[in-house]
Amino acid sequence: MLNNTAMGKVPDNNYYLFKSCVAGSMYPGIEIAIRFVLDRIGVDYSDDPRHSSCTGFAYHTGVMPLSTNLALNARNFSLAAGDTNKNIVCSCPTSYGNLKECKDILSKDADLRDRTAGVLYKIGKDYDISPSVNHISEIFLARLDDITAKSVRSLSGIKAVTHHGCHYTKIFYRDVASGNFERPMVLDNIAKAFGCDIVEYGERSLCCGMGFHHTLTESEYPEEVLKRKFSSIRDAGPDVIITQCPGCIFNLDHYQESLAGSIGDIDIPVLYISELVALMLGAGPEEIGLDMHIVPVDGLLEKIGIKGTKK
Amino acid sequence: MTPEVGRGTRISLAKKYASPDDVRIRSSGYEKCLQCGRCTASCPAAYAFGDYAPRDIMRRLSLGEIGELARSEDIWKCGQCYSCHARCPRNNSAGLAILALREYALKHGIAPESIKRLASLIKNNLYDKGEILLPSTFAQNGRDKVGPRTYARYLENLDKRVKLGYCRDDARKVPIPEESMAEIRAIIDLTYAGE
Repeated sequence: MLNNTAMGKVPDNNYYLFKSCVAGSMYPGIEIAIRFVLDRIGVDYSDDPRHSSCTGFAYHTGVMPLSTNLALNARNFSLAAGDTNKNIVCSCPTSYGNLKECKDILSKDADLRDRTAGVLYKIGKDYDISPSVNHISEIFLARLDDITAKSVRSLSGIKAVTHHGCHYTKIFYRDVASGNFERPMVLDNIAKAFGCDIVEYGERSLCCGMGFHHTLTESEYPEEVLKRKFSSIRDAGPDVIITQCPGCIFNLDHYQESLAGSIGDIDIPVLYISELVALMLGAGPEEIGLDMHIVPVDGLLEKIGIKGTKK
Repeated sequence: MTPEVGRGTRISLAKKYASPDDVRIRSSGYEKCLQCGRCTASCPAAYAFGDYAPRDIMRRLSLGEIGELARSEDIWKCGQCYSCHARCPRNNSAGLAILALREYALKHGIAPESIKRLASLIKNNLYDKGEILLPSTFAQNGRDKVGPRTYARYLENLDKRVKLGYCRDDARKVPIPEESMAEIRAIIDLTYAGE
């Protein structure tokens, strides 16, 4: 299921879980569900409170200087390097892309590397950017047999569309673990393993409309992009939209109501891949915060055969 | 000195015009840009705004219009999705160059006011909690923007997160320890002004 290029690259144990500020702020269930799944399959991971945000949201908005981004992430790499669980695993594609970009720049630019190492020296940290950077969906794909072996539920009869985060597929586009950047298959292959019917739609690779600052400062970008995205999704008629990005789930979930006036009702639940997999492994909906979703997930839960969340 | 143009000689505008010494502009590939337009055809911001084109950003970079670009609203229209980068036949990245232009604009005080306000809010979040976005940050997306049901659910979620064991006003279950926050603040102090 993994591309040949990803075989052997995706680590099968010892994960340093890298927390996301959007997931932790808006959908804490994403991270709870990740730990639930990893506990079920019995792998070693660290949930280290010391790492900072990767600053990716601010960096891509253009309000975080490159020098600060590099130094804070060199510190984050250093923490992972000093941990027994060294393989960084992100829940957020922006963390994934940004950490990889920091590593890339620091590996190629001697001047920035020296300055960044100097900053770390001043705060008493070793400069070590050796830990690998991975996304949790790749881990699920690499450990899919172990995960499906623990499955107590099925997605048989469920129609879904997938939306992969742009910062997973388009920055380091050669590193997509399954399929390619135009047609990533990471989420598709995980959901199919539980019997899910993945349906196609024309705007698969279109951005979720977040645009970083756009989603906080104006609505033109999110609304124009999402009208196009949702119209295409709705034509496919899925029961659920599956994502791998906390920012994408935020946008796809929070704008459905305000767009109903211009394109009609949408009301399609949006689930992050860890929430879906945790459900398959027996997690209770409220235990993984599904009652915090904006578009209610009860209809989908009932189709899967799970009692819905209380409002 | 103008290079002699003939067979086998590539025209490069890079030597003629200076651009800020930023690795992201240097590696954006603007000198290699063919002006083919695949980036603009792929760009959600070009679709959303109609008057924005990453191809034009690359053209203006090659003409050395750094100051004009930094003052322009255009660089804030990009949504940073990197479709331009993924689809470029020459592996260029307009989105990457835009990051350098945005940093340059903010440093010289010529970014839009809404961006300056967001920069200040985000820097405070980072200095205070080591996080860029906090649960309260999204309150900016008021009821008018997201609709009444969505806004009501968002407000309820501020309580629901506590039931899941997460902090009410932090993106974490366990806040970043004070010793780590001291390191994070020292890094910001040492680097944020761009040294």
